[in-house]
Amino acid sequence: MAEALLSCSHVAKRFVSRGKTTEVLRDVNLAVDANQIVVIQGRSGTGKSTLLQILAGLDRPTTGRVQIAGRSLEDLTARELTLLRRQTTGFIFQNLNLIPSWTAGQNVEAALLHARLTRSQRRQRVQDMLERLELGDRIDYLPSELSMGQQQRVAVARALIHAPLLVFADEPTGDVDPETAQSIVERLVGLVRDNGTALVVCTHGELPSGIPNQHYLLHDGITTPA
Amino acid sequence: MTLQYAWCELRRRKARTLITVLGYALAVSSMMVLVGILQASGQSGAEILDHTGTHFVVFSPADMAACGPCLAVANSQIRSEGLVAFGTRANLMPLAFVEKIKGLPTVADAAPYLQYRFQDPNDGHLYTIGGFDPNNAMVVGTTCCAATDVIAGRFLRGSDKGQVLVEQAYAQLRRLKVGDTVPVAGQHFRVLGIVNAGIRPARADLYLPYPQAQRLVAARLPNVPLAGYTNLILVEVKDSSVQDQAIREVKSLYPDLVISSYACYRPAAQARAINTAALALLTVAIAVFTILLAMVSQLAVLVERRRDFGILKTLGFSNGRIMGQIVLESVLQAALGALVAGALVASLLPSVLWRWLVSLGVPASGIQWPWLCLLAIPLSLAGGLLAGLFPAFWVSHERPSRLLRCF
Repeated sequence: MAEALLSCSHVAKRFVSRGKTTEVLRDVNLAVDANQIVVIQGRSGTGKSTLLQILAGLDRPTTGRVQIAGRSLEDLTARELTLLRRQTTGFIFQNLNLIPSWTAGQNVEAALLHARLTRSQRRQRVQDMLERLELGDRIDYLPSELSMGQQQRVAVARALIHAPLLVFADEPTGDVDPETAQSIVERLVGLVRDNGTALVVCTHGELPSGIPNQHYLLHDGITTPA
Repeated sequence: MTLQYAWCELRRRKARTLITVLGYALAVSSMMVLVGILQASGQSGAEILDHTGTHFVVFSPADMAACGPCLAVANSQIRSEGLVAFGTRANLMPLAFVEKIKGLPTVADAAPYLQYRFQDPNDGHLYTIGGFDPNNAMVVGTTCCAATDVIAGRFLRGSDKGQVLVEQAYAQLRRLKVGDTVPVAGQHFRVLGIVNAGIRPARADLYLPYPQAQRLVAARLPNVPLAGYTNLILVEVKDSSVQDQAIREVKSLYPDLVISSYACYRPAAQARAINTAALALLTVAIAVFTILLAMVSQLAVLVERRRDFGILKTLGFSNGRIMGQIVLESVLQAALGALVAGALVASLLPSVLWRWLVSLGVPASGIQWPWLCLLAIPLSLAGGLLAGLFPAFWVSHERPSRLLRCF
């Protein structure tokens, strides 16, 4: 059996703040294959964002093990983790996290800054990606000048522009109406399918219908296949 | 893109950037003015202190065994008369000693001085004459008498003949005034001026040019070859910090000679060292204070922007690149501050600042403003670099998840 692109076993995460310990994740186990779409569903406050950040190497688990492309994240140095984030993964944040002083084009281009591309090649790729997401004419707009749905698409473009193996999306449709949500998810799924990218999505609701995926439920710090 | 982002960020936070840049500008311009004032007052103070007590006289007492080439001189026929130095009889020293001492690296100048004690044949009172080169203001002025000591009449010139300067106390004692005639060893001299030379080491009652003093003494000591000899050497040292060294050097050249000096060069040298240290300390204190203020400002900005850096780390920006980004922004602000400070000082200098400094008694002409303006740029940039380093290190080494949790 082929090794999963992403796997985690017995992951737990505890936060200690002002002497109080909060156990957010207790025992998370999941596996994601290449090109697979995995949805992790759970109510607000169940630790979905924390789990996604641990899986993407943005945080470290208190216990347990996460592997991406056969490499255990806990064994990676800071430099190797940086390279992993730069080349292997993409991330769509719950609140988008676009840099407000950068234009849409600059926000997307930031993910390509370390690629071996000339400035004009970078600009061309950004232009192509934004056009695919129907934002070609908004390349020089600041995030504050875009609608929420357009910002969402810029965030999608930034996560996928460097053709990562794995994209993490934290509530990608959280702040938009159902129609826009459907449109964003369709575009996201279309892009990951085209690129051969695996997608891990966390959501507190339902994903728009018609998208085949592997489903997990996160409840009380434990994941269970749905 | 790094520079572009830095510039975007500075523009995005216009008010904070303006405050930080103004902070740098005020600190740097204050430093420029303060360092300028300290430099000018330090220089003028150092010039005074450098030459406080920086002189001594060298002689060979007659009761000592005459040093090698020195010449012991028999008393003149009049028993109380003779070559003297510091009230004691003195030997003659070859003029070559003067040249040798003048050649020492710590010595600014040296000159011969002929001092002789005469006895008045009418009432028997004793008085001394001092012969020197009136054109040598540097060494004569500090050890013997100077033009600034004249309280009536004028100072000697090399070409003056038949004229003497009279020490104030002697003039009072003999009731002499400018233009009077005074008898010296059977000859008559006109009083050219009256001086108060204080307690200088080669003080005498009457002063006259060296050749004339030599002729007067030669008349009393007809068999002594005065032409190649002198009985006192006046020495001026380069500055108070090397006075001890100069004395040691002369002593090692001529161990049998006696060196007499004021000890006031010691506190002068100490005071100079204290002033220099205080200047350096104050400058460093201002620099540290400026950097700390800039660092606090930089930290405040970064606290607001931690989330942005979390995003960049998520996108694969390395710690080094994030550090570079933060430091670049800090240095950019410092550079802008330096430019504003330069413009501020340059525009205020001719009108307000100059008059203010002069009214405070600061010798503003001694301030090297162009150099200070140039110095402000690297100083400010270094400040910006230092102010940015710690916050940059702190933010760049945080985990992305921690930075992303900051709102």
